[in-house]
Amino acid sequence: MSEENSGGIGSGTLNRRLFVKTALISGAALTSALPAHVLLAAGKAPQTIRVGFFLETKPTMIAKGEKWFDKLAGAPIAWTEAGAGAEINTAMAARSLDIGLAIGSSPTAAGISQKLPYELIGMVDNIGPAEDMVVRKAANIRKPADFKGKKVATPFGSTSHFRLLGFLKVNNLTEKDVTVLDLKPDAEVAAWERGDIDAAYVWSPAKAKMLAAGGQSFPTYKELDAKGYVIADLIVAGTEFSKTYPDAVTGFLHAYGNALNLWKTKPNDAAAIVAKQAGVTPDVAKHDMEEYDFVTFERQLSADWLGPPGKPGKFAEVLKRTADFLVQQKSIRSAPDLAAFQKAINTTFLAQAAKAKA
Amino acid sequence: MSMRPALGSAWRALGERRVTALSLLVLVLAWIGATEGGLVDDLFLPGPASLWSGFLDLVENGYKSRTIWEHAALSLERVLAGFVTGAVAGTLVGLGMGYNRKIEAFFSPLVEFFRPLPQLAYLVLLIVWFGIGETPQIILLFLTAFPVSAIAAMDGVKSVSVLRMQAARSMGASEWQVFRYVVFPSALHEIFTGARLAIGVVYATLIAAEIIAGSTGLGWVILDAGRFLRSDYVFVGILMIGVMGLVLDRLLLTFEHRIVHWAGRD
Amino acid sequence: MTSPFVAFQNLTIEYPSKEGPVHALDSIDLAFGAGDFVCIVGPSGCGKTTLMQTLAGFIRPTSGSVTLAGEPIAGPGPDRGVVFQQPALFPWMTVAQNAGFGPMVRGLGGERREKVEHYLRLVGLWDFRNRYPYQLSGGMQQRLAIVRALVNDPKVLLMDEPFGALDALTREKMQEELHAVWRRTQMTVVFITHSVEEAVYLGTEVVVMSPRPGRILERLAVGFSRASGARDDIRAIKASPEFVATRERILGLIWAGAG
Repeated sequence: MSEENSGGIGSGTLNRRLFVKTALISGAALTSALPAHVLLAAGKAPQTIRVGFFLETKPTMIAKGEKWFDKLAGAPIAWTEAGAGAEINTAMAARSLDIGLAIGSSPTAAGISQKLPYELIGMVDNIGPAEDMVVRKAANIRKPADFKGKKVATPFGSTSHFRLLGFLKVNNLTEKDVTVLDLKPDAEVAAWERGDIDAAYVWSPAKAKMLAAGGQSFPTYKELDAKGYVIADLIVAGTEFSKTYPDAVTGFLHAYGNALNLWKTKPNDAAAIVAKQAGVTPDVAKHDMEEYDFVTFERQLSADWLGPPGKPGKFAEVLKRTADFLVQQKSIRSAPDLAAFQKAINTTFLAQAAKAKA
Repeated sequence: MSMRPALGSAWRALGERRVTALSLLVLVLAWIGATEGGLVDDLFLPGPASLWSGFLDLVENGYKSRTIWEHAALSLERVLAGFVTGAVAGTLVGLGMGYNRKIEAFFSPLVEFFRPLPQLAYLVLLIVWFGIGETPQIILLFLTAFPVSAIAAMDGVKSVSVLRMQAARSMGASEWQVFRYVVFPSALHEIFTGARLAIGVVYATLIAAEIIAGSTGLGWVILDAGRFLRSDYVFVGILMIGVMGLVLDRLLLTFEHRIVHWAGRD
Repeated sequence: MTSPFVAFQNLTIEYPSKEGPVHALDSIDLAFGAGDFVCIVGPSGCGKTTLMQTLAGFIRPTSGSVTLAGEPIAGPGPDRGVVFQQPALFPWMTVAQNAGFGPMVRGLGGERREKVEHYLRLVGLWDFRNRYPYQLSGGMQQRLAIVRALVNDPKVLLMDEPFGALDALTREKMQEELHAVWRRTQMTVVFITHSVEEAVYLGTEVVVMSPRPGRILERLAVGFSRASGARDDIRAIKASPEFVATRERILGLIWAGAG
C-alpha cells in the first residue's frame, strides 16, 4: 500500500506533505526568477568554470596543466579547446563559456563592438614579433612593393590577418595588388611546401616550419605596432559571471600570475611543463615563448596597457582602432566610440590578483 | 449529407502547394515575431530588415574584393564541376557494382571508405596533393558526390526486376543488350534520386571545400562572415546557397520526370 | 509424332536454400509433339514454374535433360517465347517498341516490322502503338506480352499463369483470344495454370503434378480445345456435362495428390 492511500484525502499527513511540497516548489520558482548574482553571495564559488582556450606554448598552459586555475579559482574547470577567437566569441554570445583565455585582440574588439556579454579582465601577451611575415627566399621579396602579384596566406579573422591588412594599408597596397588567401596554419604549411604561396603571416609552429623550409623573416611588427596595429592576446570573462563570482575571477588571474612568474624566474622549468601540455619539445616551447612579450600584471595595470581600475589605459584606443578597421573590412557592422571600449576594460580583478601575488 | 463531401473537397482543394505556402508563412511569421519582438538577439538571428539591408549591401558593395554574384558564380561552377564529374563517375561505377559481384568487391571498399569520411579530415591532404585553388575543391566535391551516386546506381541495378531480365533474354538479348535496354533504364529512377541526394551533399560540403585557400565563393563568405558573427551576411549567404540548391534540385526533378516518365506509374 | 518435339528426360532439379537443399522436381519424364497445347496443373509449390523455367533455359537441370526438337536446351533463346503472370513489359518503351524488342535486339528490325503490326492489329493494340505500357489496362498489357513473344516466331510458347492476375471477365476473353491465335498458328504451347477449368478448356493435354518434390501424377488428353469448331459459346462448353466431369476428375487427382 502506498502512503497516499493510507493517508487518504484531507488527512493531516498528506496536508503537511503537500505544504512542504508547495513551499519547495514556490521557493524554486522564486529562485529561478531572480538573477543568479542576487541569490549567491559574493565569495561563493561556482560549481564549474567553463573556459575556452587554445592549445599553445604559453605560460597559461602551466597553470592549466598543474591545475592552479582550478585550485585558486575554487572550482573545477571545464576546458573547451577553441580553433579561433571567433569560436570563443560565438560561445560567449551563446553564454556557454565563462572565461576566454588568450583570445586575440581583433576578435575581442569585434566582440565588444557587437556588445557580447563579456569584459576584458587581463592580458596574456603582446604578440609583437611572434606573429609576423615569412617570405619564400626564392620569391625575391626585399621591400613592401615586391609583394605585388604575390600570394600571401593568413588565417582570416585572426590577429595575424589584422596586422597583414594593416601592412598592406600602410604600404599603399590593395588586395588587388596582392592575393590574400585564407588558410589555416596547417594548411599554410602544406601550401608552402608545394610552393603554392609566396608568403604567410602567421604564428608558430607554422611560422617556424616555413622558416625552416626555404623561408625567411620579413619583419613588419615594429613599424606596425608604432602605427597602431598592436595585436595582443587577452583574457575575457562573462559579465554576469564576473559579477557573480568575483573571487573566482581573481583566483583565475592569480593562477596565471603565478605561472607567469615561473616563466620569468625559471624559464626552463616553465618550458618543460608547457612542452608537455602542448606536445612539443622543451626547446621548441622555450623558443616559441621567447618570441612573445608576456606582459607582467604591473605593466598591464599601467596607463600604457589596460590601466588601473577605473582609469582605462591606452589599450582601449588599440581596441577602438582595431574595431574601426574591422568595420572598413566589413567584418563587423559598426564600432562604438572609445568610451565603450574603456568601459569594457575591468582591471579590478587583475589589481587584486597582483596584490595577492605580492 | 452534402456537408461531408463539401468538407472533403475543401480539404482536397487546399492542395499540397498551399500547405507548403502555409508552412512557409508560419515560419516567416515566427521569424518576424521573434526578431522584431526583440525575443532574439540580432547576432543569433537577424530580422527581416537587417537581412534585407545586408543583402542590398552585399549586392551593391560585394564582399571582400568581389561582387556577391562573382562569389555565387564561383560556387556554382565548383558545385557543378564536382557534382557532374562525381555523379557521372559514381553512376558508372555503381552500375558496374550492381551488375557484377567482382566489380562490387573491387570498388566497395573505396566507396564505403569515402562515404562516411568527414571532409575536414582530409582537407590538408588535399592541399598537399593538389595545391590550393580550384582542383582540390572540385576533387573534394567529386569525392562527396561519387559514393552517393555509386550506391544509388548500385541499388538501382540490384532492384531490377528479374522477370524483365528473363523476358529480354528469352527474346534473344545479349548480356550487353540486357544491360542497356533493361538494367540501365530500370536503375534510372534511383540514379536520379542519387543525383539529387548528391547535389544536396555537394552543397553541404561547399563550405568545407571553400575553406581550401578560400576568399572566394558563397561558402567562404558564410564562413568568413561567421567569424565575426555577421549573421546578416551569413543568412544571406545561406539563403542564396539554399535557393541555388533548390533550383538545381528542381531542374533535376524536371529532367527526371521527363526521362523517367514511368516512375510510380509502373 | 515419331520423335517428341519437347522432351523432359529423367529431369531432377535441386537448389540450395537457407534450410538446406530444396528438391523441386523429381525424375520428370514428359514428352509431347509439335502443335500440342499442354496445360500443367498442380498445387502451389509443385514445381510447375520450375519445369517451365528449365525449358525456357533460366534454370539448368541438376540431372536429366530437356530437349527441344532434339536439341538440348543451353540457355534462354527466342525459339521459346515466354509469358509470365506479370506482363514484365519495359515501361521505358512504347507499345510498338515493346512488341518489336526481339527483332530489335536480334538486328531484324526492318524485316519484322510487318509482323509487329500484324500481331498488334490482331490483339487490337495497333491504335495504342505509341502509348506506354502503364497507359494500358491489365488485359491489354498481357496481350502485349504475348505479342512480344509471338513476334519472334517461337517454336514453343511458354506461359506461366499468364491470366492469373486478370479479372474473371478479362480472363475468359483472353482465353478465347489465345485459343484463336493457337488455332491459327498451330504453335506448341506449354501453359501453366492454377485453374483446372482453364486447363481443361484450353489444353489438348493436361498434366497433373504432385506437391514437392514435383512428380507427374497423371497425363490426360482432352478434346474440348481441338474438337470445338465455332466455339461461339464459351459458357456453354464450360457448363457441358463432359467438361464438368473432366474438370472434377482432375480436381479429384489434385486433391488426392495433395492429401
